[in-house]
Amino acid sequence: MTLASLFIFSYNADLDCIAAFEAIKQIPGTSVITKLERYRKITLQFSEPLAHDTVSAIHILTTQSFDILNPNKESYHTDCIPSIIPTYSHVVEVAPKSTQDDLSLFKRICIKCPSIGLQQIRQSVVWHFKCSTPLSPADVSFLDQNVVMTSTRQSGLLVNPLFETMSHFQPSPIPCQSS
Amino acid sequence: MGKEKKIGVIQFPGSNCEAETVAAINYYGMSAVLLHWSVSESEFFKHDGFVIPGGFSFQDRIRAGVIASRLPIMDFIVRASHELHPILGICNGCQILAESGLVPDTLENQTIEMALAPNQKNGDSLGFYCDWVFVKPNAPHQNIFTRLFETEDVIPVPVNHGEGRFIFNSSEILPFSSFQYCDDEGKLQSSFPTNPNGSSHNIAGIGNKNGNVFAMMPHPERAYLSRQIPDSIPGEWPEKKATFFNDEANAPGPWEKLFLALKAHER
Repeated sequence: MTLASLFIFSYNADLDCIAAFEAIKQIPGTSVITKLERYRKITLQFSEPLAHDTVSAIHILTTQSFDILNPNKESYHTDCIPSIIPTYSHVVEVAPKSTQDDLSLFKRICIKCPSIGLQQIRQSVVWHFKCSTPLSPADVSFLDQNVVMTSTRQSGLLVNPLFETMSHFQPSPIPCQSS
Repeated sequence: MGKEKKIGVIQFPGSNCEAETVAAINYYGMSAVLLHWSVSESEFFKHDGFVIPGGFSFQDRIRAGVIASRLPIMDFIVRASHELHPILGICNGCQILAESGLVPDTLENQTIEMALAPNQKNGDSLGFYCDWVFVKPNAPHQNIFTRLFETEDVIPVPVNHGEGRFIFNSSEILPFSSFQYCDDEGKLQSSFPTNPNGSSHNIAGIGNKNGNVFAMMPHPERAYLSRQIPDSIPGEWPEKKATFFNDEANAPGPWEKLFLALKAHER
């Protein structure tokens, strides 16, 4: 089993990200956040033996199908987010509890790109908070409770725990590759 | 004769059903006023009740309704809810009320207890869905907006949304007023197309514990006149429409009771 992760970002203004950041700025105690980045994460699982190396497989996937990304507007990093700065960054991954969208995307891609040996696909959204000071465990907990996990109208924004899950994103030690 | 009831229809950036909502309220003898999302508190509280109409507020960024639910005007809505003003959310308005914790609000502290998740068709991803469906009331006498309905009523109504699947943090059906998706004979079936989005317990709309707030995904303002009913749907309404057409082109539609209930309500 070979895994690859694409972190897809917009070349232009990401309106979801701008709207989220404007809403977050209204939450007291969040002035430490200087920038918010949003990535669509696509985790690809290939069957072995590999029909192509992962770089070639991703190239086929992104050029033969517009289902993963629109290359006119979007690009991607492979397996990591280069802008993450340890201790200054807080990165969370948000995924729907239901995998039905992943299954329908998987079926569409298998029709368009049958040769790449794709076995499974998982979609999520990664939010990267860049902060002006190093983050303590208490700061991380504050961000999770007041900005990320929604519990009331005043508390949380990015995740609705009734149908989404949140996990802390661990940066990969592998050097980044960009498209 | 009492004074004409003033209903504020709240317009957010991206609302797109405000005109027909205003028309429906005015048709039933109330006075609807469009309220900008940045309206002042004093101007806001000149109204007797409030409707949050459908649309795509803030382009559904992050999740449908979540950005609008954080605006200062929602502080006024929360206060209006505490003061037992009638508040109706339709489609995107329903999503905004859910993200505000105003429905079902069983704990009366605005904790988020339900969500409108992306539509599903028999467990599969569905996407945006637009069609006529039927709903029936459950415990109608508990809420201002549903109290004129009877449990035997089967009401046609259009749905038009991509994120309308009710999910609750409790697996039990709540004892509050609700509409449930049903077939044209009033039978509850959890499968598509009777349940057009996979909602838990077939819920199409639900009220709060206090009975003054109601959030529904279908569009009653698109069925307030009988002439809005398409001939293609089963049931009595196409025939009623044909009869009305001979007498009165603007005869009331199947959602008359909802609007009359709002009109008759005295706080």
